[in-house]
Amino acid sequence: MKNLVSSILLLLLYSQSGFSQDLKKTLIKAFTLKDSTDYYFKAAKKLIKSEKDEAEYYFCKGAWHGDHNQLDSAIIYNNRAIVVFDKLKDYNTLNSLYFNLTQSYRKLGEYDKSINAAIIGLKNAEKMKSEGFIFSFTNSLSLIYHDFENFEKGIYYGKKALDFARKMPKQNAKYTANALNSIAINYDDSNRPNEALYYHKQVFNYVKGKDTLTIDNTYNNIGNTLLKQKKYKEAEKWINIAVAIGEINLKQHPDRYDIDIYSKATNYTNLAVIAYKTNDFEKAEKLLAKAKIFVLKSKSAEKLRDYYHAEYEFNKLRKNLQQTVVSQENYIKLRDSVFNKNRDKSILEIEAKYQNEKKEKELLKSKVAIANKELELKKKNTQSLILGITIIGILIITFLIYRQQKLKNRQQEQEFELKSAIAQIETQIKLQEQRLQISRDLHDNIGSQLTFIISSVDNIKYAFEIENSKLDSRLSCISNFAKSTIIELRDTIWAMNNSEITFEDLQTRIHNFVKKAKEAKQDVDFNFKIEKRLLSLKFSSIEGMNIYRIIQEALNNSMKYSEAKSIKIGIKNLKNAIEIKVEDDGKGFDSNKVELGNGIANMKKRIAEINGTISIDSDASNGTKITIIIPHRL
Amino acid sequence: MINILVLITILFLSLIVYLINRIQVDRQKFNARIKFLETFIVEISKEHKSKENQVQLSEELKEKLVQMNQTLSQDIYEMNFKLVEQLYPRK
Repeated sequence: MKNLVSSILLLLLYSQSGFSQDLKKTLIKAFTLKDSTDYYFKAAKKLIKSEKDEAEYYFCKGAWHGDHNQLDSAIIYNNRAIVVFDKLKDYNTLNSLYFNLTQSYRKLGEYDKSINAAIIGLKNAEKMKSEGFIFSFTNSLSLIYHDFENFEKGIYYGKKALDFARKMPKQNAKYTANALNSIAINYDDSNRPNEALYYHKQVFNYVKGKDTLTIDNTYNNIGNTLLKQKKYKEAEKWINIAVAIGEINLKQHPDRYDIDIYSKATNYTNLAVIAYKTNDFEKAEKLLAKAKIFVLKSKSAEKLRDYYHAEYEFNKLRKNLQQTVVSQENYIKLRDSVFNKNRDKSILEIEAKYQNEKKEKELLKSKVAIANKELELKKKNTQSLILGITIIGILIITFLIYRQQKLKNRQQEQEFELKSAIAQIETQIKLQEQRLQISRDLHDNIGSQLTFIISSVDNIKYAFEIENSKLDSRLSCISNFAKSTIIELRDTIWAMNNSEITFEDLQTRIHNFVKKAKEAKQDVDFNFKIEKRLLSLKFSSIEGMNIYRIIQEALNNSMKYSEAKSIKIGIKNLKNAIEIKVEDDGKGFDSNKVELGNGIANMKKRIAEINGTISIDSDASNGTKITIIIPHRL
Repeated sequence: MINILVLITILFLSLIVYLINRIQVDRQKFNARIKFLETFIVEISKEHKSKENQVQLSEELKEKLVQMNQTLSQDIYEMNFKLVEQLYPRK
């Protein structure tokens, strides 16, 4: 352990930055040059310029006193250093300081303070996650409880240290051996030698070859256990090995204080016990005298206690009563100073406080873990929600895009259909126009040919003074027929040239027809009436032409067959229809007796074409009345 | 996380609203186009109907002219017959 402290100190001195280089050099000299230590420490004190310098100075002073077993001074300087390093929040150095303090108090037998320092150091090391110090403090607690004779606790912390050492990635063999030793000595002093030997011997699984030179204490402890089992010879053998190892180590490291004092104090005490147990009192006396020197030098309460106990037993066996009483008194005095009730209570309080804090920490840790889990759960829920929303969003968007595409396709189809229909209609219109153009040309030719026929016939009649009445009549017939054909041709062309025909157009046309009819039949009175509101009513050319032809046919029939004096044409608006009436006051006919001609049949056909109805009412005395009803168009 | 959630929701909602709006606008445009085409078809159909009527009238006239041709041919034949009879009386 001493070696560890010194190494830490030197490492600290070489690695620390932020404090004076001169001070650093001076402190190293104080440590290494034994003869001038006081001089260099005084020189170093003069070089202190900052808090950091002051802390380093106290640290070195404490370590030096500790190394030289000046425990009270070591404690004072360590405590001063702790105050400053705590202020500077240098937790790594604080670990070293608390470790030094733990060791010093332990040696002095102030176990409550030692445990307190170890627990503070352990908390600090746990905070810093410093594995080496966590192990060292835990193992120290095991050793302190051992010295304080609370072996159960000692075993507990020893096993804890062992678990920790086994989990450590580096140097776990060395740490494991230390932990095994701590467990073993606790078992040994709690009178469980078999367990003690089991743990002691496990050490050799981890430490082999030259390294066994570092475990002289194990050899001594095995010897001690065997001694308790009254296997004195075997015990002596083991302890002698420990003594031999100590001698070798001392030759190799003459500066190591602990080899010289602690090991020898224990070894000689144990050998003295073996000696008086085997009734070799002379040897025992010599060994006790030797042991006493080292025990007193060590200032270790534990060593002193063991020594007084051995001395007491020796004197008792030698029946040296006075000396026995003195040794017993010394032993009891020491035990009382170390194991008083207040200290026990204090240790329990410290321990309880540490355990409470630990439990609180664990509770806090578990609370944090629960909070973290809740957070994780929340995170997962949010992630699920995000995923859900993303999937739903993508599905909706996909659906919308699909729907839009489908709609577009349907729209394109509809548009295409409409455009196709338009193209078809346009083609048909073009064809119709071509046909109409041909028809017009034909009609023009026919018209001019008919005019030529009429003029030719008239010229023949006037130029040749035809006496033959039959021939004359035939010529007149041809001329009249041609004229009527021309009229019909013109009427049709008129209708063809108008896409829509109003009643007003029809009125003009019918007036012309009536005028011509009047020329032929001057004694007939024609009366044509139409409601004004109907004048603007529009028909298609076919409808218009059909209405015109029906009226024309009705007038022709009246003029031809009825011998009427008056013919009336009336067009009026009914509720849902238009009524066209052609009536005369001439001779009527009995529709049952008279065979109706093509004229009437044509009229009916035309009426049917425009969805109208026709009724013929004829009486021999009252003339004929033709009523045509056309569905309303207004 | 909540911010991401809100951001994604807003993003998707915006995208959905944009797509719905686009669909609506497309539909309106299409309806306007179709309306125009329908109006055009109605107009063109009217013209077609009018032309059809004219063609029908022309067909009727053609029939009439065929009849007239027959009648006129008959009349001219008879007239010629009478003329021949008058010029070359039967012995």
